[in-house]
Amino acid sequence: MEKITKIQLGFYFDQTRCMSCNACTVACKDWNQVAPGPVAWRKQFAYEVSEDNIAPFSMSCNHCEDPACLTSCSLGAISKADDGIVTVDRKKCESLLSCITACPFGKTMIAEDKQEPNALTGWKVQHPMQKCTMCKDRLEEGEKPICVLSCVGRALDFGEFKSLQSKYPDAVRLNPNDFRYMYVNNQTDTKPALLVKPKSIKTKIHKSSTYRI
Amino acid sequence: MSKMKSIVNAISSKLSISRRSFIKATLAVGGSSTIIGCYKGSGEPIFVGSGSGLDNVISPEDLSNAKIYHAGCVHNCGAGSRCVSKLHVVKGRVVRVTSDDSDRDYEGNLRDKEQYNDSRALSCAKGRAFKYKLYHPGRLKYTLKQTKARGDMTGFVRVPSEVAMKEVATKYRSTYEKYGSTAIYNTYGTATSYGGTFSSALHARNALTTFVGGTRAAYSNYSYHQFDFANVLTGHPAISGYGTIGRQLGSVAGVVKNIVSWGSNVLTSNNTVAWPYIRAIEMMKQERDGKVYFIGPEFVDTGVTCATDWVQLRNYTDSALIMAMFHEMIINTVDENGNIISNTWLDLEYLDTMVYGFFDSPAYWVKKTDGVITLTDPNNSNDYIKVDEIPAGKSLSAYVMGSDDRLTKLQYNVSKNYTAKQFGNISRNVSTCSYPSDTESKYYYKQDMNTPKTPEWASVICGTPEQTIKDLARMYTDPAQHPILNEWCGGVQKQDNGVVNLFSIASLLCVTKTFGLNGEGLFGPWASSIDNPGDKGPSTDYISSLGSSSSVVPKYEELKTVASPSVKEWFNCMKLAYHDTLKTNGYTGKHLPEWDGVTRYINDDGGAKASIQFEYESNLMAVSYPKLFNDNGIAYYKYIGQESDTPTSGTPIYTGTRMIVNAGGGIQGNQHMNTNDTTEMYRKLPITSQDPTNADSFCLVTFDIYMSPTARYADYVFASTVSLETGDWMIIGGEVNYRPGVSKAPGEVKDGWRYAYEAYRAQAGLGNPSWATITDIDKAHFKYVGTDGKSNAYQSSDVLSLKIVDKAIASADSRFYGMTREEVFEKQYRPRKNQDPKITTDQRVGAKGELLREKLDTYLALGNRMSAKPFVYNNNDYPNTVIPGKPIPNDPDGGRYPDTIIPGNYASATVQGWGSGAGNIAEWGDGTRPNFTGKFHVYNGAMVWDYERRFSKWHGWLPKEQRGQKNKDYEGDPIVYPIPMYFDFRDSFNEAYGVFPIKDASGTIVKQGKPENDLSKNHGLTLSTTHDRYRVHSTNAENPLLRELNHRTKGGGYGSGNDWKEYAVMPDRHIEGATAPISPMISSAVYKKDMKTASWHEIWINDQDAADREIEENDLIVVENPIGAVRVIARLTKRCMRGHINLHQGGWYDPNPIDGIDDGGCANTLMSSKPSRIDNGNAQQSAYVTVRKDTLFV
Repeated sequence: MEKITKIQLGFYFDQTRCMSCNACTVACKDWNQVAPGPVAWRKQFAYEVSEDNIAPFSMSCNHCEDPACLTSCSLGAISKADDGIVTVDRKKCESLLSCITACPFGKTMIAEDKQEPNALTGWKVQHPMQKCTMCKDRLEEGEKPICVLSCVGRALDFGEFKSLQSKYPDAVRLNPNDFRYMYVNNQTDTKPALLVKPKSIKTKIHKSSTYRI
Repeated sequence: MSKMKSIVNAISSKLSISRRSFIKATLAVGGSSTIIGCYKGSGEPIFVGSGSGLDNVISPEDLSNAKIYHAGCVHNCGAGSRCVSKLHVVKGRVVRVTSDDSDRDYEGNLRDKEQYNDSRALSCAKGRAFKYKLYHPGRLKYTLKQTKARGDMTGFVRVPSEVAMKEVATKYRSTYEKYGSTAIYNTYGTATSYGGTFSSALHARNALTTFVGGTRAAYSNYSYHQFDFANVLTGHPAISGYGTIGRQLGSVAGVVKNIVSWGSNVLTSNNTVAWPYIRAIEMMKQERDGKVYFIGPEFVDTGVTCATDWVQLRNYTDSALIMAMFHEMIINTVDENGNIISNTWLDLEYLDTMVYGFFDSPAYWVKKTDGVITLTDPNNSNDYIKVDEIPAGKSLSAYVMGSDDRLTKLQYNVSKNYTAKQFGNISRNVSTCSYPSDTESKYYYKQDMNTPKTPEWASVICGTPEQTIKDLARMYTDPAQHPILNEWCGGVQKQDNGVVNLFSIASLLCVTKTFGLNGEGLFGPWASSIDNPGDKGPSTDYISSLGSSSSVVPKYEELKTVASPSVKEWFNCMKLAYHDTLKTNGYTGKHLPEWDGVTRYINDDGGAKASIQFEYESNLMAVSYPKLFNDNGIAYYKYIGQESDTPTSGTPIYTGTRMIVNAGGGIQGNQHMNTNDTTEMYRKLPITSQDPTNADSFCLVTFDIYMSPTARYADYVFASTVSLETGDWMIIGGEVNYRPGVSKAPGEVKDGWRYAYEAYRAQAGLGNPSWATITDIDKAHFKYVGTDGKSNAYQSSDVLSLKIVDKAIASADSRFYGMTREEVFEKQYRPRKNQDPKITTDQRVGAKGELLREKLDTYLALGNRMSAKPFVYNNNDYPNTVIPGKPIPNDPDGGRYPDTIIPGNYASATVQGWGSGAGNIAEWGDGTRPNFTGKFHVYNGAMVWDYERRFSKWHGWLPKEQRGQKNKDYEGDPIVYPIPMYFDFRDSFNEAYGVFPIKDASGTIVKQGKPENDLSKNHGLTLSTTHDRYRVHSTNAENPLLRELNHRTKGGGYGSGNDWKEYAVMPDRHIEGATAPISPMISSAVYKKDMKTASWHEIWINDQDAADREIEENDLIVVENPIGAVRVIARLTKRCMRGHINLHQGGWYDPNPIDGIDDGGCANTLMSSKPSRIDNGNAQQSAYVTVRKDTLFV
């Protein structure tokens, strides 16, 4: 029997179309039943790289080809499936926190009591790590991840990573050179499965030097 | 006995209560807490809502087996444009909200989702966070009434809504009986069942207050007050535009070269246009290298996404920029010696002939039929229109050039155009600027009056570079760079000089001829690119036949009403009505620097001082004021109590505003200027419930879903449904669509239709009032219990709504014919077919602008201007009959004509047009009012004339100098001028903050000025209050999934806040016998100083401004001015220009009892009540503030 070839699913994000509405952020919380609070599997924010480069960014777990979280976890709680999706088995997590520092993007998260008041049966700790599942439950039903479907400006897309690269030749893989501001923990090259169409043209700022403040 | 009377009696009998005994009973209820206690379950919480609905873990199986219902989004962020909501319901509870995911349109075609006009009715964050509104623990469960003191949270008790409704009906009648309908005011709101056809609280409000009488009206609204005035100032509303940007997206995709956004943040304000807007601009950039100039002080999200250029412009200074653009155009047309230079930027011949007021000009007369001009009075005013003189140095160009005299050397050229030929060899400007100029004035703008308004001058004021101003001026005058599409935003017209700002923009379009073609003109912030499912909808006849719940017309024996004041004047009407009570009860007016208790009838008031009782006659349904008295040749309405023709011969009865019935809105608290002052006033006014028969107590009735900032000060709060707690219909894109009830309302919550029924029963149960005979009660009865008249079973909104579905299914001409109900529900929300109306050639904009531009083009095409006579344009040239305030027929935007109450006829020279100025102005028709000319007005004398006389017909009881609107500032110079010009924003704030002394009618100073309140000398920052994505005004301020996106804990950083269950919950459970104190604050976490949980609203401050004040990211800071202070968290940004700070509007007012500072970050806490110039409107986005670090939460 022929061996099934592994694939890598990934996301695409167009910085020129994102209008910072956070529909993706809220849709993600709503679909995945994440309660109010600082833990959000996907977040959108307009980063002020410079005055003439305000860079909107929406990011969840990037389901990296070389996930730093996975290799950092000594308990084997994190795994990468044949479709490339990186998942956590919350029943195995003992909150050692190694993944928290390993992920360059801070996309492995741990809630506090207020946001997650009730531990589920089988959990070893009150707040095991949680993260984006790429809406695996939706994929199994043949539907797109909710964030992609919610994007009003059609800035988000999803699919097999190589196909995305063909579909969006202007996009680049997320990397610390172009998107340093997204690497909040470290700059490990994890081969994130996120293609970004960058905001290549800077805004022209018209500012008076004689302005009376 | 008539049928009607038998029904009244039947109802009274059924209720087993006579009016008199009812009142006794309600008094007992109001006065005794022991009786009140009977209504409560033992120890049952009074306030708390459905609470723990979201705490239960839903199993994955349950989630995946949810039943899906289709509805329009619960938010109506645009005019009738709504996204698609798919509600996932498990066991009667909404567990998820998704949106349109269809790949095929209504007709089954595969959608091209990259097509710019593809429907993108995708719910945004607000729609998707809905379950936290539905199941918020702060949801009110029971109707409440205040029993202690207004604003005392411990004084609310639970009461059956039927009893509360009876008391309110009684209060309505007592107020009406003594003060007339003038004293009662209905306001609008959107908190409850937003957009519902049946379930809106509007029905209940109307049933309460119009069943046996009426209420006073009001003109305009909080959204468009200034626009409604500015729209017509050029004489041609088609130029100022009421169209939405959505209709221009085909032009953007296909033909527009430049977009100039005057601050518009359309992507944030109106989600349904977002995709088409983004995509069309993307095409414009890719295909034509188009430019998008965002002009404003804060680089909003729409700018970040779409703009190529951010032109920094300080708030309130738009007019200065435009004046400097005019200057640049003039000096590129005329040299300093008055010689015309080659390749002029301006079309002088066009300006001479078609633009009234750009240059000085003599008086002349134009023949309407052919445009023939004469300079001598033809003494036949029916054939000719008089064009009034522009006096020496008063034209727009004279103001722009200041002391620069080049235009006085430039003569009208008699050989160049027909109009100039008639004028002869005279100077275009007779003198340099002759408006009041005083270098010693305390008004900064007068110091500048004679200054040439150069780009250099504007650059200092606006923060815009000189070269940019010059480039913009060139762009507007260079046809090669056209079409230029302009967008205005709400903020531009919610400032002190918003009318003037819009007049400036419209004048810019007039002068440069950049309007009337596709891709040109000035368009509003709304758009509707909606999920409109096709041509054929279910018949709406059934809804029409039901009509309004309140359309029962009694026979009036008596009716007392007067002119409608401005929509925002209820607070002044209250101040005047309760002037003595407020003083006695210790009201200080400390947050309102102009309050002094002496000059109450002097100030310009938007109609408040007209609220006295007048003599009138009524004829069944109509009322008229035929009784006049003559004072020096002018007739005024005679007031009740007047003893002779001497105006001061009697004592007028001031009605003011004494009862407000609020259909679930925030206006009476949060969303009106100056929250501190409003609530101080409320607190000093006794409550109603002690005695509803007392006409003299104030009464605030509201329908609400939370104990909101407004509800906290109410006498009665009717706990109401939110959308989707009952079946209903909503209007989407002009079609009526069914939306289901998917979730049970908590406690004893009812929808507006049910409350309307109860209100009707309450009024009917009280029988005929002393002033009216109820004649059509059967009609009302049948609305609620069925048209057959046989059943007494109440028909709910659910039942009525489904009847419409069934009717559509049964109608052969309906597109739902033969479907099941389920199929109808789903089919309604299928997107329409993709369309590609990309505009590739210049065409005239349709509807109201078409004929004007056609006439202009015809004129311009004549070539030889010597023979080209000016055309005369009037209302009759519009394609349809103008009906004030009504929709413009066949306008794809759903545009409407301006409101009825705009005084005067701005639209043309020959037709009265919209506006009831004639009815309100005593001097109307005396021949002194300047005409509209049919030209493009950049000078509007009629506007000034009207201003000075507005409401004067109602002012006969006042000394002559107090009638109309005072057009004198603190130095005796005009407030209102006939041209658009730059009024220095510092002057506006100095007026608002009490810098100038207050004088009484005799000119004696009664209150010294406070020079220290001139914040320009204290590092003041101008403040804007743009929308953010996470509220609609003050709606959704409680929703935790949205709060966390604009709130932070102190030092916590972006997204750090989470006060779920500790915000907007009436805390500590108000249980009978409970000892725990009730938090006086909406945020119990802030009240308890729980720093881990307490969160504050972000404010955006320029990073350098912050550094100057030693403020760092996430610092808790106090933003304050003489009006109030808010505590907020600093978000340092480069997206605010220097000198400017931005607080998103809509945070809930939540003053801290320790220091009075508003911890809710409500922008209106910083807004003065000073009305806007010209229209006396809501200058609600005008604040000048200083900033310091907080010292309370250290």
